Amino acid sequence: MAVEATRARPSEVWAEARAWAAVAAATAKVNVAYRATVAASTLSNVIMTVLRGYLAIAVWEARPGLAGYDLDDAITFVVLGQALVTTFAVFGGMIDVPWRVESGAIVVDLARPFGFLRWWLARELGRAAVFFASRAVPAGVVGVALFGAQPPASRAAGAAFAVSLALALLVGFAIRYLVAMTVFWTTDVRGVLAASSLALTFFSGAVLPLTIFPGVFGSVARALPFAAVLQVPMDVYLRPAGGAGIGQLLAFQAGWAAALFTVSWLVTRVALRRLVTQGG
Amino acid sequence: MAPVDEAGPVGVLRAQLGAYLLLVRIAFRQAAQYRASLALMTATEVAATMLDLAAIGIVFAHLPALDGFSLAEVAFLYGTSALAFALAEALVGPVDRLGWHIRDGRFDVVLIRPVSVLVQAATLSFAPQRIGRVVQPAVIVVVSCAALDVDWTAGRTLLVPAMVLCGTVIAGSAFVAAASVLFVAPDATVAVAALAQGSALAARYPMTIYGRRLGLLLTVAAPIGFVSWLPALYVLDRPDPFGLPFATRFASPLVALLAAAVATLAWRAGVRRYRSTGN
Repeated sequence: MAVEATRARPSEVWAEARAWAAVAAATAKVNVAYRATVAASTLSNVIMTVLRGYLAIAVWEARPGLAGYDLDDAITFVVLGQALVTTFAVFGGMIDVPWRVESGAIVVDLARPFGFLRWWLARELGRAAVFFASRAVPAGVVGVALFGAQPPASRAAGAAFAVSLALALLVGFAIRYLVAMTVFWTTDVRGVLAASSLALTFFSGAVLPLTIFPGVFGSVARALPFAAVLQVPMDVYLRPAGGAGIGQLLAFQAGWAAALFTVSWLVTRVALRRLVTQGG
Repeated sequence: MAPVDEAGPVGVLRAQLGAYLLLVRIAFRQAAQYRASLALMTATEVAATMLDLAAIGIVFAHLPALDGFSLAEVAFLYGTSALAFALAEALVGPVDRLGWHIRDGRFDVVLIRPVSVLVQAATLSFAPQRIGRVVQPAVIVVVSCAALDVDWTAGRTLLVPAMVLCGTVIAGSAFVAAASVLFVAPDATVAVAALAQGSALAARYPMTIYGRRLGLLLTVAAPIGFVSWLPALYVLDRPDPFGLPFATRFASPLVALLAAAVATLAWRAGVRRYRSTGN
């Protein structure tokens, strides 16, 4: 894909935006087409949120202040964090590259007049929008109604939280995209997929807040890109006293997003060239 | 359904069991073709259960007891329920993948083969690496039993394997019943998997943490409590915090039978409702 670094004319920008919107909207349509599926998925998201909420109450009532959160903060962290889990596809996957390589349908993706990486990112935006509206919002509402989760710590925290969610989506996408792209080298991705899903689930903070881990292990866990997917947005939302400043947290996410997208771009170039040499 | 031959229902059952074992063997050989992937996946399954345990361990490093239950007691609840769910998942778990097969039009061929649809569904994407999940909870059951401060009468000792067996049947029935939904909503694979995960999560802690109403609902209606909670109350020699009759502690075999019956009905209704997506 040739990228023109020169001034883009307004009409080009407009056409580009329209293409993105079209891809995202088409993906969103696919994701709402199976209504029974949406209902089942929403229900399971709500159930998991409720279960985790009760568990958080049991643990933090016995030991308030654990991991640096008081009872209210912990409930907010667990309930809202769990509600967002499917939006950020913390369980991994959701990018169909491996199956399309396996079936040969990837050829169609390469023939599109729209960059490969951009195509998958635009699709992710459409999917995430549907998942946010149909999974995260109902689960969050039930969580708030049942457990009384906290509002954002401040108005700045609320605004920063929205930015943080967008960055989390980018980081989560890039991690899963890189995992999916390993299909160009390994032919069978299921092992990598399983391992990455595990790492993403555990080190994003979806199981336990990462602040609970002591010592070097904790520091490493909080520095990994997985932390940018769930832990950091919730930190921004709650901003515990003595924690890193909001700007610092957003910079952490933006840094990982930039780094991972650079790698994704390079990997895409190498992988697609590789596919051409293999095909024929 | 396979035709009933002269051998009668017992012969049919044996033939289906034979088909199941054959298909499992094929799955193992298939998986062995991708060695690196199989090794990585098995290691991941073991690691996943280890992380589950680490999560509990980390919580208990900060707490003396969870809702009045000691570490050994929670470990016993966790081990027995996780073992039941892991066994059920190893045996029939991949039925949640059924949705993919239905959506891609690969299910038609299943219906014309002279082998039970359920046997085929359970082995269609049989995952040998899932066996890695059984190891850790089995170890936890043994270790927690040794750590428990109870009088090991014959009744208690016998109840432990019995509750795991019944729990496996209940969990397996729940998986099959949930998978039946896939005939109507083939895209609900993720939701079905999440529901299975949710019930495994719910079963692993004392039911009292969910409060009286939700706890009772989970125990009796779900019926997750019969997987390990109620029989465990007998093993741990504890009064029932919800005040359920003493007999419920031994009702798991009955519930297991009932669950299997419900699952069978749901499965049959699902298969009957199946409409090919075409290709």
